[in-house]
Amino acid sequence: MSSYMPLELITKILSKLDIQTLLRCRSVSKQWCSLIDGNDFMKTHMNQSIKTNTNNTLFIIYEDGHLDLVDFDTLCRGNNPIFLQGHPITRLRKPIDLFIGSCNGLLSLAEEDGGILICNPSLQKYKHIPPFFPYTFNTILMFSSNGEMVFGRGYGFGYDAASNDYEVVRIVQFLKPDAQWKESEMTIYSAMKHLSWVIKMPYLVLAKNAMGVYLWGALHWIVSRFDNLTGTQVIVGFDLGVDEFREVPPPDYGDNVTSLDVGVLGGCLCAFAKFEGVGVDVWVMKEYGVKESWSKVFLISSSILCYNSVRPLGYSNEGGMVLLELDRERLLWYEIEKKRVVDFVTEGWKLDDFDAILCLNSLFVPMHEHPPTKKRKMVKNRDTIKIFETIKIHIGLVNLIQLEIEIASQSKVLKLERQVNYSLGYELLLLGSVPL
Amino acid sequence: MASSESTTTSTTTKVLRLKSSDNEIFGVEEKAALQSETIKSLAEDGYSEDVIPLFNVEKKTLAKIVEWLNKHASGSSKEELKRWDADFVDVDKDVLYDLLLASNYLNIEVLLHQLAQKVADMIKGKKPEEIRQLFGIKNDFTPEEEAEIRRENAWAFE
Repeated sequence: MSSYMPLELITKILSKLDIQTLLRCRSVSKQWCSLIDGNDFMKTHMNQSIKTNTNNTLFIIYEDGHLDLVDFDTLCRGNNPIFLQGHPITRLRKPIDLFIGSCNGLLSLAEEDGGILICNPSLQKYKHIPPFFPYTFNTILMFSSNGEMVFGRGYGFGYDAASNDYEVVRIVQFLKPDAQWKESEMTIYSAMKHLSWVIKMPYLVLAKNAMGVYLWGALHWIVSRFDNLTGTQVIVGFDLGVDEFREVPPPDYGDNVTSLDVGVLGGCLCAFAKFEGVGVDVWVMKEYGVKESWSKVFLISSSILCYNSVRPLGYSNEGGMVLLELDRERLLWYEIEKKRVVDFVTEGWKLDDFDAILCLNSLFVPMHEHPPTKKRKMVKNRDTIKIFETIKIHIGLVNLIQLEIEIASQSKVLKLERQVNYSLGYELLLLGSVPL
Repeated sequence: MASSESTTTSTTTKVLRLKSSDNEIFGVEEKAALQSETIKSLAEDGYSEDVIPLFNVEKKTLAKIVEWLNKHASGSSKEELKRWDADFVDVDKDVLYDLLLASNYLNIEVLLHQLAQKVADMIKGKKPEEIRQLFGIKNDFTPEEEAEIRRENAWAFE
């Protein structure tokens, strides 16, 4: 082949490759290296993988905190799981509690002590964030000083394109001593700015510890509206770019839905609507946010499959099967045409109380080593304006300083917290909210 | 009776005439030819009655492309096409390169995808020097630069 191959063709060819081969291809020539390192190529490669359901790794955490990696592409071909032995992520210093989420090929993991790891396993690049959330991720129930019960209810990991930032969120809910729900709040942590803030959440997350479903810059959960807790459950998306909750128009499930679960299949939001004793209808929203684009793609009879909660992990390469995790104790393929279930059985592999997630193999790096100076996207809305202030804090030999600023704006309270490491001068972006 | 029926069919099936860069003309049924977005827009531009000139494709390559277009418009089963396609792309690298350029120019998405996949499969498992050889690329790194790039992801070269 000649060296005169147009760049668009080279891009087309390279976008079909796995990460390890691409890393080798970086040393072919300067042109190839800068192509592969470019942001456009990373996106093209990721979109190609999403389109073809290829380049995925299945991650499993067991109860004792150890991790397994399974090559998803071979799994799709109906073969026994191939465990990727000896990957550095299986030899982490601290035990892992759970997966917070995955997005753009990055995986976020919660350590036992509340620390967070954001990594790109296929590039073997890691970023560690020391514990800073007030509650660790596996906490389901604790008591606050005023006698309230605090429920850890959800978490998530996603990408904020407006700020080119990755964010980790944690939802807690407060129950008053009289057994009435008081409020929900979400703590958001910006990985790039090393900054966290808390916002009120007008919804109650129903599942015990629900991983937010990331799609289109937002994390989604099945919730009840706080002002109507006995009313219909809704799918709500938290937009990481503008910090706003938006309800996703639901499909017409019909009456008598006993439980709802949400996930991503083939790059689209999907909903599992269960009818007790009958089965589950699986809906896919082809065009995000457009109610009319929901369509029922398949249904599973309750005679084949029973569960309390389900998480769809992904389609197989050919799209004929879907990988499901049930109640954190069962992992199986559902064959859509044949309407049958194939459990994962392999010698010596015991699945019981585990956490599983599918992560794309991508070229995205965990984050910028030096935070860019680009400010958060301005949000205009009728009631409030959001302002930015840059405060320079120079700290001497203080080990940890917690900065807490509360700015009241109508009913909303924005709380900013920051744990500042010692001896460095930091530029801190404070996002406030003041009435007009 | 049978012959008159077949005559009727042949008059209703429109044939487009494609001309290679070295002036060879290929007759291709419209249905087959329109799998190429480039031919489609040329036909819409009024070339359909005359010869459609394809300045960037030589006759030996165009013959292969026409073969592919016909096969993919023949209503073959999915399994048969899969086998046929695997044979079709199993050619030496220079032919593959010509086909890639031609399918890119003719904008035949499905074929382009198959060819790109074939080349990608050829790259897998190869060392950088073998990939350079495959593409006829000159190494423009200094030994220090190349060593540095390898060091960045040493595990990928194991």
